[in-house]
Amino acid sequence: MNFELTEEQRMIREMVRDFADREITPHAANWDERAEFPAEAVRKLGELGLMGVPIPAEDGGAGADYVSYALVIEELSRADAATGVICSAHTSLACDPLARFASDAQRARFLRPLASGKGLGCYSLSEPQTGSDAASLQCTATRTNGEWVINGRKVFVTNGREADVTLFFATHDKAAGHLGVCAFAIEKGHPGFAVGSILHKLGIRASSTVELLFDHCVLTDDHLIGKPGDGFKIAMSALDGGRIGIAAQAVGIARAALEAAAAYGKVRLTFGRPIVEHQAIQNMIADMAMWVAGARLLVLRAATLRDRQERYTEAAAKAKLFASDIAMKATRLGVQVFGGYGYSVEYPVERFYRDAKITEIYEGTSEVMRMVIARDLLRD
Amino acid sequence: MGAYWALVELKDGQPRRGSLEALRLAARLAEQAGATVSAVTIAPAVSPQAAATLAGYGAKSIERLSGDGLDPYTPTAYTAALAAYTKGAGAPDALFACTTSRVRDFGPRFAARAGFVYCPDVIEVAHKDGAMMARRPLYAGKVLATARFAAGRPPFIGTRPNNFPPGDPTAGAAAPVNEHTVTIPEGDRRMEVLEFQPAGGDRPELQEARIVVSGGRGMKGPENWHLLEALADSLGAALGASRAVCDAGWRPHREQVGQTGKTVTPELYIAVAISGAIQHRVGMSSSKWIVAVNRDKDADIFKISDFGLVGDVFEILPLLTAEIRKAKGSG
Amino acid sequence: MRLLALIKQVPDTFARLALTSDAQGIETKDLGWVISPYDEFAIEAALRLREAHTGEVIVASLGPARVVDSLRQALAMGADAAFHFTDAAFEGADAAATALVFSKWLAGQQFDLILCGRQAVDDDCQLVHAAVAERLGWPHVHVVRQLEVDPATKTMTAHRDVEGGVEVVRCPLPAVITCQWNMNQPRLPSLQGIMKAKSKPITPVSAADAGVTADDVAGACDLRYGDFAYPAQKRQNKIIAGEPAAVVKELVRLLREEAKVL
Repeated sequence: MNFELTEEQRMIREMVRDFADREITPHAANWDERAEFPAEAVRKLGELGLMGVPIPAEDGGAGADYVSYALVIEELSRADAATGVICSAHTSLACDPLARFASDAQRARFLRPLASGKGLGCYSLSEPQTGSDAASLQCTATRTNGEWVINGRKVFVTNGREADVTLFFATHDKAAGHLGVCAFAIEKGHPGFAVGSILHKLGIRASSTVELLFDHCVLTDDHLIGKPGDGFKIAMSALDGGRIGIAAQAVGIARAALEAAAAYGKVRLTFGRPIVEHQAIQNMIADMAMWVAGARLLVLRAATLRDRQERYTEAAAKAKLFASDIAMKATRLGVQVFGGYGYSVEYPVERFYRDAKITEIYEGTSEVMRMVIARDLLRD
Repeated sequence: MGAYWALVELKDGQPRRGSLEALRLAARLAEQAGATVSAVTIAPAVSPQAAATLAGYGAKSIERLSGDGLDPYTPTAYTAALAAYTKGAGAPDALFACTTSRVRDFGPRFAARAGFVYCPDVIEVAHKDGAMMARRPLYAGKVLATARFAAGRPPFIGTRPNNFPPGDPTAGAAAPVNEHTVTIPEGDRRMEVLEFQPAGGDRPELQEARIVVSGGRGMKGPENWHLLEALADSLGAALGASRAVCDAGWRPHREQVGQTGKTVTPELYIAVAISGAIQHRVGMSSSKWIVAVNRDKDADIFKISDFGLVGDVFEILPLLTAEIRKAKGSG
Repeated sequence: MRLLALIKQVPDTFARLALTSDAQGIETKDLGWVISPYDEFAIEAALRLREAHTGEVIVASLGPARVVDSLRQALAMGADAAFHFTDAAFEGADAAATALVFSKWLAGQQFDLILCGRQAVDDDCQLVHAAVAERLGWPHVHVVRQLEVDPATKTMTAHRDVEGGVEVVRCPLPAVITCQWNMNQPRLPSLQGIMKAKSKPITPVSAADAGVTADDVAGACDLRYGDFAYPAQKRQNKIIAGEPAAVVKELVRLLREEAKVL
């Protein structure tokens, strides 16, 4: 069992860290305050090959391993959780399912521009009444004259406002439950397809979270990914990879809180000494460090299983459950270390605290993670 | 009897302050070692007044090297001139110079040609056990170390500017000026100087600068920044700013020093009208020297400063700028 | 064009340096190592020249096994091949000895331009480039902030920082230059660049390959450092009180004589 990163993985992590320090950290607070999408930074991520890290080179991606991808998301998220999810949702939820399930022609058309960093992708499953109960979609895909007519409303779509390509799911047979779900790829500006309202959020405010509206939107078979009825499988398998991404995001957020608290604690004086010399603060920092280390190991284990093409659903669920939980705990302590200043927007920890919450919710709530883990353990 | 040389640069006909520092150091060490000191200067003529000054700082003779190809300055021509002279006169036991940008430029090349041991940015020199030892900063000033010179080759000691106070010249000293014509070979005359562009308003990079002048909200508004700019210019300093001031839009974000801005580690950090909030301190507390100017005597910044001025910044700034200009004018 | 970037690996510039127990050096275990920051501008300048004029960018460095990481980093940025000068005979080589080793090897190579950083941020000697140029008999241009090359006439024109401004100089190639801070913006290696780097060659160069003996190297060493210590760090917290005119005078005096920063 080798716990060391390869030289290449270390170089990748180093490069993203440098990029984040230069291009993300100085602006993150601003983007958050203005809920401004970091278009320029995302464009540069594309140029560096960071918007298709684990996607095969023949599809325009970098062809790197999932461990490297997890490191990339962690480094981006440490600087700005929103940028982390912009990359993660694009890569794991849009690019990856296209890479695995789309035809050659579809990959050339939809995937290549995304994986090569020239366009942004998003994934749309949730609906106003459909979250954890993902099989009970209301958005319909009706077969008419050899084409698909889509009607419905989707919510909570990360990257939805900026996306060039959207991977979405609709049902062609509600009675069939999860076996009736179809997966489609659609391009921005397609008639009958529009971005609806934009969500104002507690955290990850630089990433857009929007409604998508399908009003008699007509799609040819070129847009159907896989076969009718494959959609649920495609959606869930995308989430497995996505959960590693979100877990890595949570690790990044927790680490940001840890690093900020440790740096502050060395300089802030109370009772005549830097507060890191008080045991209460040391205990907080020790806990945060332990949580980050543990969560990262779970993330990298899940990524390694995926790289070895072994089943990783349960590992990804454990990683996301644990990492999101510790991100909540670490950011809470992070604010506490800063005391009153931690509550002020002058300091970055309040943003980490707000950003952490979503990791317990999206791409599968912590409750769903527990279902996945229990089922996996208890099957047979 | 041993011979020490001090390389002297003339500026507007007068020896530069740094050259006098090196000369005085050479003279002091020469006295201990029983050696004589010659001032060696390349190209510009030495006026009687300059000669008297050099003699006053310890030169027993002044050797001026001149020849075709030495104007304008190029590193290869100066290397050739000094090397030719060294060959003719015989190498000294030690060569001293102030580590100026010009010495940085041709010094190491000359050392390679003439077989000297080049050691720049020296802050202390001493004789020990019959050899010379020099102390200098390493790792961007994080540590100091003593350099021992390889035997059999004369040390070429570049002094750190403003580190060896020359004191006052001895009155009534005199030294002859000896002229030497040197021939610069063709091979050393292949660099052409096309143009000189005097410095515009280019300030050094904030994280690279030796000196940073930083302003905070106590400056009351962006319209007052010219006071800081003048101070920065007088020091050749970079400009920094607190987060409050950048958030308010008075200064660009790239000037922000602090936790969410840049971390700086200059030799001198002058915090003007900055209260010293923790997030700013995190960004500059590793500065070698910190000066704070603030009207509030209880401001946190004074807790981490070496020298603090309590008062009206609008009164202090122009006076400080003028005083610095005066002090540097003699350099 | 055949371009060579000579780089040095140094301790991470943000690292806290511990001294060895005998204070004769810095503690190097647990240190992070990086390409000396000024050298990154040299690598970038070479890459841009290759983009403008086609050619090859080679990068070379002298030092122990860990130097390979920095060479790999340069390859990831886009350099074509690397040379690692490694030999027991090179241990303890200082700037002067390093320059000797490089120049002996370079005598058998065919480069048009050698690019270095203005200084290595560990010993700040600003020496290797000049000594190499001297030994090769090439011109050198120090502290370049802007560079143009004309391969047809084999000349280069450089803007370099001098006291009081910028000088524009021209000289024939081959030549050696050093790169000033912010001469360019060194590129981050792309992911593809990082992945390609592992298949680019890093060729070891021994003393024999360079044409030097252990005695040559030892004999060329100029300086030995010892008696390491930290500079004094305590804050004085001295408040200078009085009338503004007198106060600023006293401050300037202290800055000049005590802090020695003026």
